[in-house]
Amino acid sequence: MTEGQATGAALPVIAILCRVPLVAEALTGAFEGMAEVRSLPTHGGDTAGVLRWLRPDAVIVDDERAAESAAPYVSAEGGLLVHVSVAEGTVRLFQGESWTVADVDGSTPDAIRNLVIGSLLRRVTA
Amino acid sequence: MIQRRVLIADGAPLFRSGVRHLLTREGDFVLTEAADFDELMQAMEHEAPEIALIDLDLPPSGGVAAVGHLAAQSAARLVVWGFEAEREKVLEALTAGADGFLDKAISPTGLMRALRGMSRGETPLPRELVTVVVDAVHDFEARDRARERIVVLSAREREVLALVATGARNRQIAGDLSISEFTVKRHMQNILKKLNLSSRTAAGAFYRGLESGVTTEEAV
Repeated sequence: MTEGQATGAALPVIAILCRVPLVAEALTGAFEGMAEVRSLPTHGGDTAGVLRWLRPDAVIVDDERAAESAAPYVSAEGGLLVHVSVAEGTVRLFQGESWTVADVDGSTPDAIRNLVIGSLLRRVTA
Repeated sequence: MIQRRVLIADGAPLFRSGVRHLLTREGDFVLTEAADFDELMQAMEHEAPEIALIDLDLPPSGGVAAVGHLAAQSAARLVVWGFEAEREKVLEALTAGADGFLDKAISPTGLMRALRGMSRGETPLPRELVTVVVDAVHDFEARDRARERIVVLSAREREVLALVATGARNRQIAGDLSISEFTVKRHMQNILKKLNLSSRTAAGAFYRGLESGVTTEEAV
């Protein structure tokens, strides 16, 4: 995480691909000063293509379809993928080849931020 | 710059946070937050916001109930917002006293436009919901017309019509009202003539529509 994959910047690059713009707004605010956020709307487009272009350290999506589309890219490139379910207030984490439900309050942007930053830190220090 | 007071009442911190981040950046609104009905009531009293954005699923009883409670006692403009709301929910909110309805998937630009428009007295309503509201107004008008028409019926004819609407046959109606089948037929003829309807089926549909609030072109 000392170097973002995309830009060589000191901060990690977080791609936020959301169907609900205000969720992206909330998450962008939560990561302020801690990550370089690239926020894009997702409407069932070419998620993998967008990610290849952004080359993020972590990806956050709020849509099941986008989560499934992003998983192969993250699996191949070794990034971190987080799926926030706005309706259920839950968070899933894609690591390795499978999804696990994270033990955090998915309705709180700070909790989602802490999960992402913590996971990135653990990967750097591992 | 005059900063207008906006209140967001939403059980989901993600949405409160999203609106807070947006309004802080834009600068022309001051935000107060509430996570449930009790906090909403306190904030309305202490902060006196000009605009209140209330979640359709606001804990514990929902945004429509909250609007119903506030509409009569608050000068604030009340807007309910929700995800892909059904027609009935939107109409419930507006009937309860909401000044508008917004989709929670609204863009930041759209939300700012809606809030600024409200400050000028505009009513925020997504384009797809405008049709819903117009249809509802037509339904109300049709129901009013139907109510005006039914006034021409006598009390007995209305009783007969009510039974026809349940599917009752003449013999049954005659028995229920203690009149002859011949008299029922005569009432039925009068009902069709007075309401300008073509059949017993249409008369039944007319009455059921009046009762349920949904009237059809044929019946009206």
